[in-house]
Amino acid sequence: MLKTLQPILCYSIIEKIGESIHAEVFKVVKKEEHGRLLILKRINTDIISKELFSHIDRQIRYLNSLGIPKVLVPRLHKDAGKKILLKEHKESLASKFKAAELLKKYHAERNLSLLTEKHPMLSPIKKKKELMKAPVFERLDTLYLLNASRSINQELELDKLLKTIMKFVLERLGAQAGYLFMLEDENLILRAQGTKLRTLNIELKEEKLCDVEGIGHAILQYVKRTKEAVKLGNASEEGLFKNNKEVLELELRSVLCLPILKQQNLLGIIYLQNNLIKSAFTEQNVESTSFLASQAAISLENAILVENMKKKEEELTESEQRYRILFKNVPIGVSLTNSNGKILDINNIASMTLGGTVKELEGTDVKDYYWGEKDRDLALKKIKDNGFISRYESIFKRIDGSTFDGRLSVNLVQWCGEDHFLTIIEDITESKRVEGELKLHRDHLEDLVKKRTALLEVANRELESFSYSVAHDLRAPLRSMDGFSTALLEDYSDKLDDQGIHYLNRIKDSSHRMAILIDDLLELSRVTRREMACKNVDLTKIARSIIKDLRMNDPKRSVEVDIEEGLSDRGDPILIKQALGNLFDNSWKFTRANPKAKIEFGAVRIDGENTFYLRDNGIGFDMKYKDKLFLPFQRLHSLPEFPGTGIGLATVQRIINRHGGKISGESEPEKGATFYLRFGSEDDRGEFKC
Amino acid sequence: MLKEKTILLIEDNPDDVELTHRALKKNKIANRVEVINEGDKALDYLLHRGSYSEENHSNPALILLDLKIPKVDGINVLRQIRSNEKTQLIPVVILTSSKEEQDLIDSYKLGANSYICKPVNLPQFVEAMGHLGPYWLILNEQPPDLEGVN
Repeated sequence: MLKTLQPILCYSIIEKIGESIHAEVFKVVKKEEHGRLLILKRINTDIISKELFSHIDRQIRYLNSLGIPKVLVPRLHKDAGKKILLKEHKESLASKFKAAELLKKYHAERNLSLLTEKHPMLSPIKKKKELMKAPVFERLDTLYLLNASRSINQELELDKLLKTIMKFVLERLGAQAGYLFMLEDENLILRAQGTKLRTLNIELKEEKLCDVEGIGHAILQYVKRTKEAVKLGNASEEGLFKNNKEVLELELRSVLCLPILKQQNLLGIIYLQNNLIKSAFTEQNVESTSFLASQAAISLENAILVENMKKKEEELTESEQRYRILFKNVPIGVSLTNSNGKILDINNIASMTLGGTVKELEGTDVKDYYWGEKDRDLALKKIKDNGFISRYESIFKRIDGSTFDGRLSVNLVQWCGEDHFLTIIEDITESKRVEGELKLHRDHLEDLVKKRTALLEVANRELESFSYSVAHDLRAPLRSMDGFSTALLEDYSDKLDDQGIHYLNRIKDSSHRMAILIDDLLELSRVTRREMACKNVDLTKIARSIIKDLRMNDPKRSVEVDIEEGLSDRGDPILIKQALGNLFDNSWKFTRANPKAKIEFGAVRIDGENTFYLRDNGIGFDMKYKDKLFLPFQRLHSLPEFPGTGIGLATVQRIINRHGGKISGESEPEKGATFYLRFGSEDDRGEFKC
Repeated sequence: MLKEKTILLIEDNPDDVELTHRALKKNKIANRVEVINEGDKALDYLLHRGSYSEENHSNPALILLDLKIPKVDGINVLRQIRSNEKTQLIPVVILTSSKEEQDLIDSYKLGANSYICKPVNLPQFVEAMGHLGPYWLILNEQPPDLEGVN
């Protein structure tokens, strides 16, 4: 890699690291091979050559061959600052001793053994120190570890296992306290905590790492991240965490923190601590605990599996219970049958519907509960063809053979790889009965309406023929009265005196008047009988044509007329024309005495409804008679003064009523009258087909 | 042979018959007036049936028909007049008190030639007859008497 770097960069790298690891390592190296020292010096002064690069490369490789673990490099880096005794080791052998010492110091056992294999003279030093106690220790340890491992392996319950692990870990170590964390969803959770004062005390916990006090969180985080063991002899004064605030505050001393790994997967972390003694944990401790941790990993994984399985089983049982409650108590009859129609499961309501208990019904054939074979076969065919049947109504049998009106819905479901039928059955006897009654009432009502309509039709026909008779038969005698009076006047006037002629004229006038009365009455009845045909009616146009006729028939009158533009409404045009005609007639008639007669026709909004008004400045009427205004044959003025039959306004009101509308009049004697009318509101019109 | 132009008045009310006579007289219409007061009798007369089977008279020049007459009513008399080829061409004037729209429509639909509403006022009636009589009896070209053809 160095080969590819720019010379200057390389130079600066070497400069930079010269003070630290490389300096130290180079020194170790250079003292082993004399000539290289010069080269190192030249690095500082000369232009860096290709040869130099390859040399450095070789040095690095050599360094690697020494096997100084990468994990130790940062520590070397720190130690380098102190420029330990290396400088004094000028001889190559001495440097090898030093290397061995370093390796030993950082517990790079494998590399140390590699080194001692290469240079056997290094080994006696080490052996000398440990020769005496090693065999006994190892034997004891092996027995203990075997025992512990067996205990751990046998334990399948997670909580007990956690305790067991904690116990075995703490028992043999010089730790004050031990913590067993488990990794759950990437978070470390404290599951077991042990303290060792006079006795060993182990508790199960359930705490997040951040809530656990009195430990070096940074150490745990480090182990979690790197999955590598950390052993600190005096945490607050040396090693990686000596500057950590928490470590300093807690004055942590001996710390051993080990990952529990299963195939490089972190399951948890064992954290041991002793704040009283420095270097409480030996390399031997690390190894034995690592061994326990690896055993624990397998057991923990198994225990977690078992626990998860238990949890799932509980969830399953709970869910099964939930659905059973749902099935049993749902307020509708449900059952499950197999493809042969055998009832596998039936709920309370369904069994009640079929008149038995759940026990009696389970195992029976659902086909037995159909009453008619035809109905049954039809239902079964539909289910077979479509996979369902929805709200199928038929007669069903109860377990005792009695029948009921039922409604059936069936869905085909797959269960255990086989067809099953989910059935809903309802007893609809009661609702059928109510429905029947309702139908009866409805039919009765329809009958009644038909009968009444027929009666009404008869009445209408009678009225029509009555009107017809009136039209013909009442007029005939009048014609005779008038005709023969006229004949008398024409043929015998020379034999009659003035009084006689006067009497004959009175008879003639009366017969004419009665003829008009009959005509008006017939008109009134025609207004009621006429079939309405509604459309948009141009009221302005109608009013103008009425006034035109009035002016034509009475050319001597001078009347000022004001008709608003664009007035229109929905209604029967013939009836509306008649109503307006009668109203205008009245205004025309009653303004006769006024030389400045005026008639106005326009529209206003009253109570949100389009309302038309007709105003005149005629003689008006007294409001105390306003109730009589619209009654037939009611007249508020004397006959000679204002001739009329008293049927005009009655006709107008009848027309307005037929439109679902309203008419009212207001007046003061001698001050004119105003009539307000509207041809029905939007709501009313439906009824009147407008 | 020049046939006499008879007027057939189908009317049951004797007052109306008298007044009609007077109105005709006032207008100097001197044609013979045959009065029949029932619908079926009128048809017998026109078709030479029943009591009229022996009688040898030609078709009237004009029929004045009241709608409201006993037995067969005016509308049905008109229908039968128009449906029989012997009588279908005779001018028929409806003379009635009815102002009902439906009667008017029915009459014209069935082929009435004119429709006069008998007014209560006699002079008006006389005036109407004055217009009507001369028109149908004098100005109007008579249809051929189909009876003679047969």
